[in-house]
Amino acid sequence: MGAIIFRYAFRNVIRTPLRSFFTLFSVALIIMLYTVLTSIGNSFTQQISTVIKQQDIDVVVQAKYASTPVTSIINDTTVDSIIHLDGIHAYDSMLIGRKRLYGKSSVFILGVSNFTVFAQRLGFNIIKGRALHNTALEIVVGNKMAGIYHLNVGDEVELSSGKKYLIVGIYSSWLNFLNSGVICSLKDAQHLMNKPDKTSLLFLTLDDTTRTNEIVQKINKQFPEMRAIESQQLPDYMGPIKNIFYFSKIVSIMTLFIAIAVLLNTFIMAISERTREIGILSAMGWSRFMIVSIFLVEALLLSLGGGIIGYLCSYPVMTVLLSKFANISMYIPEAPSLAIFFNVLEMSLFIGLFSALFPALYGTRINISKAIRHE
Amino acid sequence: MNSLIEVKDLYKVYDNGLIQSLNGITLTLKAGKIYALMGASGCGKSTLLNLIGTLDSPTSGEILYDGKYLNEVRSLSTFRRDFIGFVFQFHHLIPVLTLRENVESALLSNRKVSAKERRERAVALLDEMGILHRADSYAAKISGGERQRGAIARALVNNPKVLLADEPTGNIDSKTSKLILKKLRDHVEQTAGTILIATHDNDVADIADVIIKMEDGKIISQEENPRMEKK
Repeated sequence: MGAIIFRYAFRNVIRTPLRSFFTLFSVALIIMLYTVLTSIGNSFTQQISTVIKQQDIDVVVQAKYASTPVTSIINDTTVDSIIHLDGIHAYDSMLIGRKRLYGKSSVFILGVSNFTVFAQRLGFNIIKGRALHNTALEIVVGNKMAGIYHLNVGDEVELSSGKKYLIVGIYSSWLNFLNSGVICSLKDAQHLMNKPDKTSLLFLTLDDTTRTNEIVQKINKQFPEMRAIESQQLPDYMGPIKNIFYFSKIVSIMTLFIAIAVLLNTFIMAISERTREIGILSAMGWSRFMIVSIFLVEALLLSLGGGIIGYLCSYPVMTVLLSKFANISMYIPEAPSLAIFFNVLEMSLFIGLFSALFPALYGTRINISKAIRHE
Repeated sequence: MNSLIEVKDLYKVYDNGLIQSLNGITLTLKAGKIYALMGASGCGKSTLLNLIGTLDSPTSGEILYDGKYLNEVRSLSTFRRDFIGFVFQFHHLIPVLTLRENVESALLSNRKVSAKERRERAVALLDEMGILHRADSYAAKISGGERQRGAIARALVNNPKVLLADEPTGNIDSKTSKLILKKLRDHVEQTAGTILIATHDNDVADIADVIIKMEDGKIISQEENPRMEKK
């Protein structure tokens, strides 16, 4: 039975080739969009979350009203007061920002107080040249950025007018977004971003981790313009992560609705055109379930076909995005993950079943004799 | 002879009573007999066929199959599959299925019939109808007569006890028409079933055992066919 039903459904799909092609094309386009946007969103949130987990720190301090670390500004005097509080064992600071390179796209700049510590925490691996020794006017660049701008060890880059920075090394990090940036000393970053004596984030390691909550409360009370949080809570406070999470969810839901609308339209038309055929099948003793199952198989062929094509098309799209949009390349993974593939299959299954089920159930509630006379 | 179908005081009205299609039909169809239903267009022949075949429900009245009331049947689709065969005026073959698949499709919902048996029965019937060479052709690629023979094969493949045919030879040549009528006669004899044929065609009426004449939704006469009595 299954073989004939499948053949019947497949031939129905190719019976109206133009309509099926455009339905398949629309579903593929929608799923491709979903795959690309979700991949970027997931990549971004995953990378940020992993950075935080890897930090081996107890408390993070940023400016209270900053929505992102980039907009957070902490004065050196505040840093000095915080690090001298009772119970603070060690600290590191970081300045994050962007700088326009050669008047073209902006690059990600990370100024660090101690390169070795951050390299360990963030998993940097110097693949060419040497590490940063906290020497002025020296930088290390990510391998992705080096590739995009054709940079090499020994080259000099003019990051600000009149000042050239020597590339002493090229690094690679398993955190994709870091590979599109430049790392320099905190002082150089303060100069480059015109933020003297300022940092974006302060990372504190405590003498006794059982006192973490107490110290967080103490900092928040004594420095009302600052927000101290326990490190594991950081992702919840980071605007971009929250925004990307919501963005990702909204895109998924919109994708689902648009794809359902496309297929629903196709099936309402198909079922209306095949009323007489439904009547004939009913007259032959086909159960409603059997007739509905034909439309479901047709819908699944279109939705799963479109889903798989859309997923596969996202590979070249990501490659194009990586090569053409250097300024966001840090967020773009090289390929969509397998988890997204299964997600796409699930979505396609749902889209197919949902969009065909209701028209099919409605279309099979017919008066058979009228259906057979239907033109 | 056993009565297979009993129709009791059957009424069918459409459009809230504006159209009275059947006006108190009472009829018995006996096993082993072919009935020709004759009358002008719009007299209610097709409506009666549709009601007996459970494709529509009557406004009032009752239909019994083998002594059982049809309104008590649990699954009408299963009932149609197991006991009723339809031949429509136009072949109504499924265009995306081949001729063999169309014939097989009538057996598809019957889980008791294996795929192998389904195929064998379809092939045998197509052979009997002289269209086996068209088994893998789609309906659009074959002639009108071949399509109608395919439709007859589809209606007979399940060996239905009751075959309902609405102008089965209306659009085909006389040679094919004779072949179809012979096949219908053979079917009645082999299955001890009954056939009700709505027709305007006297050739069809000639092979019927009983000729029923309808007018304005009523049966005006029901007579044994003298030619068949002689045979």
